[in-house]
This record gives sequence, structure tokens and C-alpha cells, in this order.
Amino acid sequence: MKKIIGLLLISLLLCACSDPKQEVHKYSFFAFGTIIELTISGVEKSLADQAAGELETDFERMHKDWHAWNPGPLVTINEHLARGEAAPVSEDLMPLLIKAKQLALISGGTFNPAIGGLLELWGYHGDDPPTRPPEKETIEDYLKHIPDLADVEISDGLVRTDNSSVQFDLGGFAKGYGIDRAIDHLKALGIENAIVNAGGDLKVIGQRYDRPWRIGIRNPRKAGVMASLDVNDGESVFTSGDYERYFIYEGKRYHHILDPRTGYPASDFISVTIITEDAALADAAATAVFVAGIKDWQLVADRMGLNKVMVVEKNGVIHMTPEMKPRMQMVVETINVQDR
Amino acid sequence: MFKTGDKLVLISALVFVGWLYGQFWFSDGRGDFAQITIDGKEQQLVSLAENKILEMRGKTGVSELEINDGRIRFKHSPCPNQICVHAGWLEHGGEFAACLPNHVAVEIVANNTLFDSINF
Amino acid sequence: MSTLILQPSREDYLIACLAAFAIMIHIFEAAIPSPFPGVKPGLANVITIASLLVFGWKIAAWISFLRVLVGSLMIGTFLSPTFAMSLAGAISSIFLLGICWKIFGHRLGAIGYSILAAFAHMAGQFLMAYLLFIPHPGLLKLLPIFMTLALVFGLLSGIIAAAMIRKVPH
Repeated sequence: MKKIIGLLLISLLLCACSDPKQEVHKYSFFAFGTIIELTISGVEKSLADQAAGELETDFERMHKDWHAWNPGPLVTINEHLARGEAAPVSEDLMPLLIKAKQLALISGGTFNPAIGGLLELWGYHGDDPPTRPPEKETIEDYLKHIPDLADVEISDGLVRTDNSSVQFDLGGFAKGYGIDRAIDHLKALGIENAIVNAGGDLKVIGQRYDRPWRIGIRNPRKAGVMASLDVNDGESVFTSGDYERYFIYEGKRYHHILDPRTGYPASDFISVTIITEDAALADAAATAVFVAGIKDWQLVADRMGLNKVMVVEKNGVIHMTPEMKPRMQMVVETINVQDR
Repeated sequence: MFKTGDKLVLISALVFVGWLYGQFWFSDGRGDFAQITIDGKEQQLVSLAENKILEMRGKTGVSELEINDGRIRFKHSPCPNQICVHAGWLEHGGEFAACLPNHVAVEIVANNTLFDSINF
Repeated sequence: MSTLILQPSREDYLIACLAAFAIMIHIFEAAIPSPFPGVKPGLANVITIASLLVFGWKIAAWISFLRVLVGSLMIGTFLSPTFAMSLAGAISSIFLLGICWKIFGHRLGAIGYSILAAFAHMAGQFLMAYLLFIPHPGLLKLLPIFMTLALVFGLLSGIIAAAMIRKVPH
């Protein structure tokens, strides 16, 4: 009798212990100049631990190689271009630059990875945020020689241009490219269900053990979330917002998403969210659509081959493409903009 | 009156009920959202940050839900026994109320249990 | 032409009599308002448990089944969701009682059987409600409360049943 009851109790306790396949492993580490958050499901903890370690190394190396200001390969290229010389490009960096150029061309110049000079004028190259905008004249001078990727030739391991103001800054796109690489690395390790989130932008593969990966889209003006989204296998979700990096000068807010056409922060939107498979494309497109503004955003989205786009206007009104609408489960209908 | 077997059954029953509480009642702080389910499938997520009244059309009529100060309750519901209305305010993660006749259920969910990752 | 006369056996009378008693308690309970839908003390189970220990599982099963059927017909819930829940509960509890009766027999008393029956009854009802009304995981949060109530009422019915059995001359 006692034995049977004992057996019953033991079986109850066993039920309480969960299957390791049904666990979600979470990691976060500081790399790539931001917080990387890694979420893995469906594998043993030991493999997940290993993956997290390897990804951290990957991101650190990418950050060093692709940084526009700290000494490294990209800085060497920029120095060559500033002197009007052709710059040799390593095999590693080559596909990155080719892709950057291609994306810049299809974006109609709203995504411009060559405006390192403009970002430097604004002071967005250091770790500390700037405190005041540059003089109007300085910006006007810069715009006279605005870098255009059409003038940049990339071939035979060399980058050439006649415009000495071309300075590569891959900030608007390297993160996406890095996330794509990280996902490839996870797949190579045999991990089929994961989220790689770098500073708020993410790509997923597979799903959680019991349901699709579910993410919250942060409200651009308040604490909390404005929408819930179930992300499909292989999709990337990227958001550009004016709240990520900004400073306030004489009561006016200046953020880091600069419009290459005006030299000033793009002013129509407070956030733009893109869903597409290619994370590098999503990254560049979030910037491009943000810059395009209320008049051109659909045009730029079309040109870049995007059909899942959400934009939030300065007055709090949210617009979505027809393909985006059924995906976003909205938590708020409009964004309350009065508080900033 | 109690046989040894009865005592063992009672003890196991107590352990079992305790285990159920542990399993289903992990209260995780104040909730951020209400997950509203209609007829078992149609789900809607609403933020508890905005005060408002929601009208949910269920099987037998409209259930009126009120959100106020980070809490939610059934204000009116077209059911005879008004169990959902008497459930009062729901506030913490995991709290739940349902209007069974109207097939409308409300559950509080906290940010951290709802989302696997946050995009910004 | 011949007339077929169904001659009720002594067992049939016994079942009918005990079932009638259980149905009476069942109907009486239905009239008492309850804070939760489907949650009743289940005192009719006293009869089922007492019958199990005195007359065996077959008779207890008959009583339990008749109670659900006739009880619902008289209250007017026959084939309604309430009936489905009630039937699911009765079937689960009688099934568990059958298994335990075979394994433990008289080594368990009225209280033990009553608690087991109450748990099985509640679990069956709950499962039916979950499938029938709202297959929502949030509903599971109510399960611990329901099971606590099942434990309390199961214990109570068990004590009553035990007292009743002692008064019955064997």
C-alpha cells in the first residue's frame, strides 16, 4: 500500500520536471557597440552555451572590422578615399560594400552609407551624444558635394571615387548584415530555433517549442509595447526610431537619422518598422523609409521590394501596408505624442 | 474512521493540490496587458496603460470591459449569473475572468511572459 | 401471444432506491446558489461511496449514472453543457473508483474513496468545460481552486459516508 502511494508521489514529481527540449535559453552580452540578446529553443543547454560564446566573438570581430571611426579596415579605406586614392578592400569587407552600394542605389539615395562626413559634422561618431547641431553654413557646404554611391566604383578588390567627400559609415546597415551572419552561424551549429536581437533589431529562425516566436514592438513615445507580432521562420524585424539616439538643443529634438538630401534629421516619422527576410536589407530599408517621409515612403518601400512596412507619423498616426496589417496585433491605435 | 489508506490518500491529495498551485499560480507582478479571447480563438491584446471601455461581441451579446489605472474588469455582461462582473478588477499577471455564457475570457499577462524579445 | 413480464430483481430495487435518494440530494443541491459554475458540494456522492463499500462497484456505478441522467431530466439540463460536464465528471469518478476498488478494496475507507472520486469528478468536469467552453490556458489558473474545493467537499462527503456505513447493519 505505502509502496503504491510512494510510486504515485514520485510520478507526480517527475511530471513537474520539464523536458529540456521545452526550455528557452537566454543570453545577453555587450558587443557590436550594443546589447546582443540571444534566445534559443529546442537544444540542450550545453550547445546553446557554446553558440552564445561563439556569437559574442563573431560580433566583437565584426564590430572592429566594420567600424567607421575606430582604427580598422574601414577607417583605412576612408583615409584612402579622403586623399582621392583608390582603396584596397579585403575579401571580408568586399561583399558588405557591394551590398551597401546596391541598397543605396535602389533606395533612391534615402539610404546613403557614404555620409560618414555628415554624421561627423553632427557629432554622431563618438560614444558621447552631441550637444548642439552644426552651423547651417557647414551643412550647406557639405551638401554641395553630397556623396552619391552611383559615383563610387567597386571592382577588382578596389574602391574608387572622384568625390573625396565619400566616407563610408555602415552604421545603418552593418547591424543587419551582422545579424544575418549570426543566424547563419547558429544554423551551422545545428540550432534551428532562435532569435538574435542586436540593440532592438532582430531576426528569427524556427519557433519556440510551443508556438511561433512572439515579439513586442516598443511604443516610440511611452514605456511599454504598441504591438505584438508573431515572427515567421527566417524573418527579420527592424525598427528605426527617433528615440534611439538624440539630443535636445534649445527645446528642439535632434535625432540621428539624417536625411542626406537636407543634411538634417528626417522629420516626418517617429518610427518605421520593416519585416523582411534579409536583415541587411531590413536595416537599410528602415532608415531609407524613415528618411523618405510621408510623401515618398510607399515609393521607396516598393523600390526596395518591401511589402511589410509600418510607419508612425509625428502626430501619432500609424500607417501600414496591406501585408503588414494582419501581422501586427496592435495594442494601441495611435501613439500619444504630447509628452515629448 | 480514518483507515491508514485514507490518511495516505488525504496526504497525497494535499500534496497534489499544493503542486497545482505551484504549477498554475506563478503570479508575476503587475500585468501590462489583457489578453481577451472570444469563443476560444479570436484573441486580442490590449494595453492596460490606456483607460478605456471595450465592447466585446460574444456569443450572446456584448460584454463591456473597463480598463482603469492598469486594471481591467467586466463592467457589464449579458449573462444571468454575472460571475464575470463579480470577479472584479484583474491586475496581476495570470489573473483571469471569464463570461462563460458569452464565451468571453480575459487574462492578464505581463510583458516578460508574453514576449520572447522586444523590437525597438 | 405471450406477455413478457420483466421481473425486477432484488438488486434492481436496491439500485432504484439508492439512486432515488442520490437524485433527491442532487436536485436539492442544484437549488442552492453556487459562486462558481459547476461547483457543488457533491453530497450525492455520499450515496455512491457508501454503496461502493457496502454493495460493490457495479451498483455504485449504476447509481452514479442514473443520478446524472434522471437528475438532469428533472432539473431540465438534459443534453445541455451542464449535463455534459456532469456526465464527464461522473464517468471519470466512477472509472477511477473502479480501478482503485480493484487494487485496494477495503484497505481504503469511505474518506479515501470519496476524495479520489471528488478529484476525478472535478478533473473530468474541468476537462469538459475546457474543451466545450473556452480552450484557453488562462482557465487552468482556476484549476487549483477547483481542486481545493474538491478536496474539501470530498473529505466532507467521505466523513458523512463513513458515518452512514457504520449505522448500516452488515
